[in-house]
Amino acid sequence: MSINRHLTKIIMAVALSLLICGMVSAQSSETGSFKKDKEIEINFGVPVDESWAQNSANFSVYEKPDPDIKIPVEAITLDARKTTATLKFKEPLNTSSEYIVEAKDVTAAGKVLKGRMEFMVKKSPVKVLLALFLANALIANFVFTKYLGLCIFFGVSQKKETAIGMGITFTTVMVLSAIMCWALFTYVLQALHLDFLKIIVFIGTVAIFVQAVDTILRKVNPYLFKKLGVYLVLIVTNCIILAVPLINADSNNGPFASFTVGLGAGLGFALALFLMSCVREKLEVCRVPATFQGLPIAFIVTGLFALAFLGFSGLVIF
Amino acid sequence: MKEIVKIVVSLTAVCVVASLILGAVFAKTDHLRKENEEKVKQETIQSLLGYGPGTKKPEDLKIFDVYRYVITDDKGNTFLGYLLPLKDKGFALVEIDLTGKPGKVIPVTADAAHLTEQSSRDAVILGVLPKGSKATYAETLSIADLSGKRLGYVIPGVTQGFKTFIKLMVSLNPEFTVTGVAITDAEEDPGLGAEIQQQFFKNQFVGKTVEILKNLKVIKEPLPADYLDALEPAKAKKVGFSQDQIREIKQKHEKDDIYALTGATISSRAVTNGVKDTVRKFVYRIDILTGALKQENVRAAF
Amino acid sequence: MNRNVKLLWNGLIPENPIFRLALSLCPAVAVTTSVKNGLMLGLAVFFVQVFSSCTVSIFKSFIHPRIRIPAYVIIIALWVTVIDMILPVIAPDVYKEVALFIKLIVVFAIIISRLELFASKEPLVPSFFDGAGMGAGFCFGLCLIGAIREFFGAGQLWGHDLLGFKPLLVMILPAGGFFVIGFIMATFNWLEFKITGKMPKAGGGH
Repeated sequence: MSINRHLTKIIMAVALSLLICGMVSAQSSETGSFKKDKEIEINFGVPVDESWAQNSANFSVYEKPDPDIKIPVEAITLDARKTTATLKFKEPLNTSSEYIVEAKDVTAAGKVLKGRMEFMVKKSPVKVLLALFLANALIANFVFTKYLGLCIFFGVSQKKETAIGMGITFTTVMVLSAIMCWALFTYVLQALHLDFLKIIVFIGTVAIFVQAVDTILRKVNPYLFKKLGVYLVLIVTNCIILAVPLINADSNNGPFASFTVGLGAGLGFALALFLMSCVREKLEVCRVPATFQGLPIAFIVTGLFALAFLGFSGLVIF
Repeated sequence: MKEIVKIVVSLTAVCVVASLILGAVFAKTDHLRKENEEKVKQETIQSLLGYGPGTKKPEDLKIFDVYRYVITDDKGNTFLGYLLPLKDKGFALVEIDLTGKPGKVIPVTADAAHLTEQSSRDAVILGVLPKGSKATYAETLSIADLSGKRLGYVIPGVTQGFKTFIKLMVSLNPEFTVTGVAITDAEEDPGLGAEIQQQFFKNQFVGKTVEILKNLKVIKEPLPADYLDALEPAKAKKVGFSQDQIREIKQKHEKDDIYALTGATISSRAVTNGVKDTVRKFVYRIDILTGALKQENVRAAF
Repeated sequence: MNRNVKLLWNGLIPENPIFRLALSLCPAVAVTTSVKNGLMLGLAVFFVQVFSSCTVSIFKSFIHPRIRIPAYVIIIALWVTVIDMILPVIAPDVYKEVALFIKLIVVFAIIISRLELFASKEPLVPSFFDGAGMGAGFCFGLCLIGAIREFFGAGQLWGHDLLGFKPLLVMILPAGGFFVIGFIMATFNWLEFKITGKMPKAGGGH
């Protein structure tokens, strides 16, 4: 049990630090945020004149790629401390796009503080990452919706213990190799215009990494190796381990996004394995017709799970 | 020691040979792939204008590509630049500032083939701009003239779909009423969101004027049976509708909102919003551009 | 000659990679929403399998046994990338639907296991036929699943509307894919039971 606890602690620590980084970066520099789909909130940092703020001619709002198309501001309200302004619009805004709010001649206490202030408004990066995590773990679960990782899925999901072991090993390897592959892709392949070598490089990285972990674990912690070693080799032939870096490369994801996709994919896979193992353990003591025993009934159960997970589609919390 | 050297040499040899083969195949196929993409794009534009596969393109149909760029000069000012073909050979880069006021008109000498490829086009534009300027490609607008008269416009758009981006093309007539919608790139669920590619969904947008588009919504109701049959040409033939009957049914439902696809409301909304935004932005911009061309006496080819 | 034909047949039914060896199941569900997609991926796998088997068979003396797995992976990745570059030029629309899976052929257990079990030990011609048999069996499996799912899910075959309505939309969804394969596997089990009188042991699922 202690391996599980150690590894879980490591993953949680990394995830927490990621969240903090995201939150900190969200508050820095001049950024605004979407409040509901027809409002934008910007923070000046100092109290501003009410008369200046309520004049919509002082504000210019547009979508980042279309600086020539200005969006008319319907009304502006200031909060009690007069440091935050809420701009209201007639039409709903496109929250998946980036907006820029330009404030002209920002006036406080009668004097013009700054000639021009620019605020970047987009969905909070934390929210984007959390949405990405949920998408990869549940909504588009790699096993039930994207049908990847089936190879290992059916082989390892017979007992709860093996399922948990594989799940944890896989998530750890997945997250670390996702980051390594992102780094290689961005700093080596793209810089040298060798994008077409990505398949070879990614699978090579994973293979080398798994081999390295295998060797290190064997020497450093034989107990851990005895428990999880056998799964390591199987990871190399798992479709998901190659699919995640490829998806990250194709979508041009940054480091945080790559990490989140890897984490979501790994945990989603672990969840699928665990659920499947619970059912298969029960199936062992059921009367399954002879022709269906083994894989056929496992497939049908997976189909039922897939139907259930279909219920997550369209889920939008963040 | 010898063992390790043999292993390393062996592995390196395999890698090097593999990379060489890949490099060669890549060089050959990349070029073909880009050509293919360009051909598909031209075919889509033509079929949106009404000359799909099976109908021959008329001799006097001319399609002009206008490239829109967002330019920032070395002083930090931002403005739009339209690279367009001129009546008498050659091209011009027309600068328009963010308030719609026309700026400089810079003649550009380049050959048309050079300009279709983005990287060479970017280089040409940076070449005619003052040092320190930055130019970012925004989109390509296609203006079609038939026998010298305006036939219509084909404009690209992109919208956030259910899974990932949906890229589409909208064709408009000279009064900016929608004459066709094509989905060029989408990765929606097969059987559900992927149905946005079906005729009966896309054809709902045909005939919607700029006014109707302004308030267009998506309603979660199934298509009325006669509308469904009229929208899909193959079905209409099977049911036996005459051209007049089809036109009548379409006119009856012209002011209707878009009927969502079963089980794919998000994809339907995405396409609807995509079409609305694309047309709205284009109508705003083409107005400014034609005004600027007139004011600066630019003899554009269209 | 006889042995080679036997190898070819082997991959098609007795040791069909999908239904009997239960290897490389991911694409069997993902890509078989229509016959066209299944055929495209099947042909891609056929190409990669044959070329990889032949390459490994020719160079087996040069590949040091200690690094044979990485070497196999690189060779497979090489041919996968080649087909990944050629296919969008030959058939761009079908390629778009199966793009991710073409790239994932690298991790298909079937290919690497064939190289390990067969091509690394046998000369060129038998390796070719073994690879061809496995590739053909895989392709056949994909087309079969694709045909069933496309027909029942969309009422079409190869894009041609046959029924005019969609009987069981769930067939095109992931769940349907799993159900269909489960039933086909059970059918294969039943056929084997009828022919040989023995119940086959459950496959490994790798």
